[in-house]
Amino acid sequence: MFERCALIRNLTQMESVLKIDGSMIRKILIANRGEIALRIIRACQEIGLETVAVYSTPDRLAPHVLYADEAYHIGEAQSAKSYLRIDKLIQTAKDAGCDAIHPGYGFLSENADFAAAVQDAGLTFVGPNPEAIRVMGDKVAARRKVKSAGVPVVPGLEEPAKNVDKAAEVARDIGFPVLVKAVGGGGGKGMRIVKEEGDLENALNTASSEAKSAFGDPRVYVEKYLEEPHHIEIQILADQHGNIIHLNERECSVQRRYQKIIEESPSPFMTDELRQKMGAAAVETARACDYVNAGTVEFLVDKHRKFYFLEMNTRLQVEHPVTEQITSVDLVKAQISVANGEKLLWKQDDIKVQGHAIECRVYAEDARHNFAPSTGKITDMHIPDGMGVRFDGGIYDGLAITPYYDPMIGKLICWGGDRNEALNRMLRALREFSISGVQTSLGFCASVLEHHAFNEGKYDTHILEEYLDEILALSKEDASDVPAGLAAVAFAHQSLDGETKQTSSGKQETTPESRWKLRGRHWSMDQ
Amino acid sequence: MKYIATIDEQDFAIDVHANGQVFDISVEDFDRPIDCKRISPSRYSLLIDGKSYLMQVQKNQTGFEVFFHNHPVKVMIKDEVDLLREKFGMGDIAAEMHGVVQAPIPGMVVQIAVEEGQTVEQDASLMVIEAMKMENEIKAPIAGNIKKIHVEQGQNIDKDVILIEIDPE
Repeated sequence: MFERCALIRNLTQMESVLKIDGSMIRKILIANRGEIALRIIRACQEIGLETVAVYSTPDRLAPHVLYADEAYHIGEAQSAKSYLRIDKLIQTAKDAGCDAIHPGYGFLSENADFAAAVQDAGLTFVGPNPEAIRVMGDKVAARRKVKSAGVPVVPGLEEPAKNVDKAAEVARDIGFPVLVKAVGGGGGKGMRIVKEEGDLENALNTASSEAKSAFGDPRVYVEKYLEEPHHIEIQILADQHGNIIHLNERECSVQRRYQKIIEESPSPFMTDELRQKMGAAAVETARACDYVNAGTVEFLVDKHRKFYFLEMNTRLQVEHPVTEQITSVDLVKAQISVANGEKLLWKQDDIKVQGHAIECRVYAEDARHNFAPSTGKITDMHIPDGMGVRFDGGIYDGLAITPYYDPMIGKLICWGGDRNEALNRMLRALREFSISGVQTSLGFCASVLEHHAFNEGKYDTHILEEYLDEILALSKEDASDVPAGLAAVAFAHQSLDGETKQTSSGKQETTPESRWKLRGRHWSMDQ
Repeated sequence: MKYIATIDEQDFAIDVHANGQVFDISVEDFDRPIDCKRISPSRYSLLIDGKSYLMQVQKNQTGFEVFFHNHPVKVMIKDEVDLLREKFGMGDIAAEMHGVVQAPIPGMVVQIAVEEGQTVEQDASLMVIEAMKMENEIKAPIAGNIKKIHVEQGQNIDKDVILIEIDPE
C-alpha cells in the first residue's frame, strides 16, 4: 500500500519536473547561506534550473558556494554588509541573468521590502506577496486579520501596550500569568513571562528595550500565558489560483529559549479530529491574507487541546524536511512550481500521513557550558547513513565554523514506519554521527530522545526547562568496558601524535562519588 | 609503563604495555588486551574481548575529551614524571591568573559595562560579547579594581583573548 502511494507520488513529482522545465523560471539566485542554501540548490539542480549562490568573505568555501553553478561575492562577514544587502542581491541576480530569487529562511526571507524590490526589478520572488509578509510580520495586524477569519487567538491586548496601567488592566482581566511580547519579535527576544502584577512594569520596560535594540521597534503587547502548551504548526501550500492545502502538523515543543531543537511529525499529542480542525484553521489563516506559496501557521495548543494562533511564518521553515518525509512532497520544488504560476499538484485528500519523522538540529554549541556557541574548523567527521536517514547540511572536513552566523550547521532527519521506529533510528544515527573540531548538540539531542518525557511522547514546551538537569545527566551506560576504553584512546592519541604531554594546573578536585566511579565498580563487578 | 588516567575527575591507575597498537592495559582490576586502531584523525576503533567500540577524541587545554556515542568524558593521562612535578608544586599561577578575564568564545564586543579604575564586585557584569546572534555576558571572576581594559566596543575578538584585568582587592 505504502509502495503504491509512493509510486503515484513519484509520478506526480516527475510530472511537476516536466512542467517546471518548460516554464519561465530558469535561473535562480539563492539569497542565503548554510544548509538551506544547499537544500534549495539541490532541488533546483534536480529539476534542471541553474543556480546562483552569493557569499560573504568568510563563506568563500561554504558548501553553497561549492555546489552552486555560479557564485558571487557580495560583501563582508557581517550580515548587514552581505546577506542583508537588498541592492547588492538584486544587482547580482540581474547581472547573472537570473529570473527569480529564493530567500530561504532567516535573513531577508520575511522582509516585505525585499520581496517588493525583487518584484519591482522584474524578478520572481519565490515566496508570498509582499503584502502578506507585511501583515503577518506585524503581530498585532496578524492577530486582527486572523481573528476576523474566525481562527482563535490567545486572549490578550489587541493593541500594543500604551502604558503600564492599561497593560495591568488587561492582565487582570485575562488572569496571570501573562506573556509580554514584542510586536516585531521572534526567537524569544523581547519576551517575558509575568507571574504577578508587581513584576509587570519591570517586564514591560525590559522587553520593550530589548525589542527596540533587536528589531528597532519598542512596542510590546500582553497576552495570556497558556498551561502545558504545545508548539504545533501546520504546513500549508497555496497556489496563485486560490487552491490552499495543508500538509499536516509538526510538533516543535522541544525548545530552548524559543529556539527549536527537535521536531517531529505527526505530533504525539495530536488527534485526527484536532488535526482536521487545525488544518482548516491554517488554511483559513492563509486565505485571510491572500497567501501564496509555502507557509507555516504556528499554534499554541494547551493541555485541553484548545488551540490558538501564534504567528504565521511566511517562508520555508528550518524543519520542513519532517513534513517532506511523511508526505513525500518536496516543498522547495512545490515553491518553485507555485512561483511559476502552476496549480498545486495535490488536493487535500492526496495528502496522507505516512509513518513518522523526527528532526534533530545540529548546533555548533556546547550543551554542558550553557549552550555557548562553539567555533573552529571541522577536523574530522562521519555522517550517518542507512535506511530512513537524511542529513541536510553540506559540512565537510576542514570547513570553518565562524562566529558570524547562526550556529546551526545541519539537520538530521529520520523516518520510520511509526514513532518508535523513527525514534530508535534517530538514536542509532546519532550514535554513528561524529564531528570533531567543534562542540555539537549531537549528544544532547540523544539525551533528550532518551529522556522519558520525549520517549513516551508526553512533553510540552517546558520540557527543557523542567528536565534540563536530568537530560544533561543522561548518558547511555551500555558498555562496561568503557572506562578502560577511554583511557586507552586517550593514551593512544597522546602517544600516536607524539604530542608533548599536558602538565596539570595543580588544581585537584575529586567528587567523592562521581558516576564514573560507580560505573567503574559496575564494570569490575561484571568481570 | 604506569600512568594515572583521570576520567571525569576520578583517578584510575593504569598500566600499559604497548605492543604495536595492541595495548595490554590494566585499569585497576581490568586486565585485558585492548586492540586500539586509529581510523581517522580523531576516531578510534577498539576491540575488547571481541566487543567493538567507536570512540572519538578531541584535545583540549587540560587533556582530552573522549566521546563515546557523542557523550564526552574528560580524560587526562599523566605519567610518573608529571606526578612528581605536581608533587613539588607547580602551584599557584592559576590563582594569580584569576583576575585576567579571557574571552570564552570568539565574537564581537557589543558593550563594555565598566571603566578602568572602577571597583567591581564578584559576578558583576563586565561586558557583552555577541557570537552567532547570541549575547553572552562576561562576569567578574573576582572582586577588585579594573586595572586595564584590553578591548574596545565593536571590536572582533578571538577566543582566549585577554579582555580585562582585575586587581584583587
